[in-house]
Amino acid sequence: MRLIARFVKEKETYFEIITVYDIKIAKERINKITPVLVSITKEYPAATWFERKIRDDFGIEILYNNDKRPLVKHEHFPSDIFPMRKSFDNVSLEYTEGINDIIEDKHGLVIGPIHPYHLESSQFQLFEQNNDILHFESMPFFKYRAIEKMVEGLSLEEAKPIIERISGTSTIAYQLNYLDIQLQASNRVLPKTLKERHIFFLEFENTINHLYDLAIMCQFIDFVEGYSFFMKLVEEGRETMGIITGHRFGFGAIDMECYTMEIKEAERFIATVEDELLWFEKWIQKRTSLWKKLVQRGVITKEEALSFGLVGLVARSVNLDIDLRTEDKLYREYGFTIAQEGMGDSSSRFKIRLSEIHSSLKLMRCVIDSKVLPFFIGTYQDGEYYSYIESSLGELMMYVELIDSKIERFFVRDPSFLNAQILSRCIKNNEMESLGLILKSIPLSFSGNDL
Amino acid sequence: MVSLIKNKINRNRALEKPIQDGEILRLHRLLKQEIKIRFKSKLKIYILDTGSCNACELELQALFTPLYDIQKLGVEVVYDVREAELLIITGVLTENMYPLCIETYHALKEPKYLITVGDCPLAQAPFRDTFAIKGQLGSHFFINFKITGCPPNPRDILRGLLKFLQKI
Repeated sequence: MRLIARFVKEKETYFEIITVYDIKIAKERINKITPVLVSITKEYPAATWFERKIRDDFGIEILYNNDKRPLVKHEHFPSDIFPMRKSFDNVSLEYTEGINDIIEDKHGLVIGPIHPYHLESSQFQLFEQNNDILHFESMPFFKYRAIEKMVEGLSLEEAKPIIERISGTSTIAYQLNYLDIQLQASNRVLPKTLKERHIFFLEFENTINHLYDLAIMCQFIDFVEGYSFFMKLVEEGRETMGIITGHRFGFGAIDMECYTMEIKEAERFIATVEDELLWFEKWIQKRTSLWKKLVQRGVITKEEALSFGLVGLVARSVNLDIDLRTEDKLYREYGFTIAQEGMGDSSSRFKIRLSEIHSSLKLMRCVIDSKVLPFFIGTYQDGEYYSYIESSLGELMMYVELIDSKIERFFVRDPSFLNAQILSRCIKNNEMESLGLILKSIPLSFSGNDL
Repeated sequence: MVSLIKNKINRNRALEKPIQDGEILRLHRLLKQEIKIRFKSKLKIYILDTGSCNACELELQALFTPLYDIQKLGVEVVYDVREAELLIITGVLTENMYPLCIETYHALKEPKYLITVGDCPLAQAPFRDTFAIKGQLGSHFFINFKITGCPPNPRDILRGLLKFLQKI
């Protein structure tokens, strides 16, 4: 059984703990007077972050979770405030003394909040000796905007512009996930043409993200030509996305109105990337020095991937067949096949991206269509809705509970929330020079993770 | 003729530069001139993301790719704010980034130049107020120039950068 998410919903007299696995959803109730939850980290190590977040958000004590450090609440955050509780509705904080009990070691090095490896805010704690990394830890939630709380009490329409801005690079995936919830709540099914249009956008986004990751990986192995090559394609991709959706990242691309698409521009982009990529693959075949820099860097074993419940291409790089697209009828109809590699290192993650771009482009060719008919969603029924989608980072999970047509509880589990937890293991014992490469070879989004 | 075709097949595509249009070339010329006058041909920038969705960072990063190629003009990203002449802030100002933002701003050398990229620092993006967001950046720090957009595209950033340099 694979752990997907673990989160809490507050009811009038009790807390409900929802644990989502791939084959079942478990719910348990705990009282609000002395809330204590038994940890599942022994069976599922990746539950650590979920449980630390639960403790910070709701003030629920976690039994048998040895990691007592706060995750969401950083320094200066008042320790007696549990912001996700319904009783807390302030929009500002009164500062108290720091609550940060992260042990700072003078021999360690804290990289951040901005560092050469990511252009976004997160902190990494690093211990190094003789150029070998002895310990590595990621400290997230610097970008915590409290989106879960922000959308509470809003209607599904009102929350949409917020949801599409959770993560700029996965905006299409987030919008589609949200649309799926809207469809479930209104009990409607999308027409095939519209669904195909959405597959097109999603695969387009995946392609751009993979091209970008490949560029940065090339940069970290000092392969400047490769960096320039992929960045050119990324820029072309964003320009084309801008032409066909009206936005370079696709904000607002998933709407239900009838609109035409600049099919020629999209076709030109597909043909360019296909052609350029074939040339590139042939070109780098003989450059063994490149592969030497990728092989055996940041190895993840199949056992680790299984126990941490890793998703996306990180899981597929150790031969696991985790890809939600294989379960989709339309994807199967167009002959989608899962890309897998076996080494679990940076070279596997490099190769898998190349093959996934090919399969995305093939799919995009199949589903490209210039026109779609308008579609109306209708009214929403109250209830609990779960949605899952395969983004370029991996499986993205969203949960919404609607009461009186307003959002009562919103929860998202970005793929990064699981995958970032493996960093400390796969970076340890590598050389300092490989740090940037390994970090970028694992697709992560701190904006999605921190929410 | 044969050699021409051969050249085309064998050409190293990775070394080919995208074609820069008239506007980019014009912006480049003017920017280079301003950087030369005001920053002795070297403008070091520090980018601080105080809680963005990453779109603004990627558009900033696009400036350093072959099409926009602004390192050629003497612009360089530094990872130590003490070396920087210009601080660029993106994203909403989160509670968790606020202390680091103060620290970064204080470490910036005089004269302190701060510009914002995107609608988020100005609290104009569709996000609502929460306990985790510190409100408009302008109510905490002096902003010298604002480049708006959600996100502004690389050309807008170049235009904004030029306007800022011409203003100071």
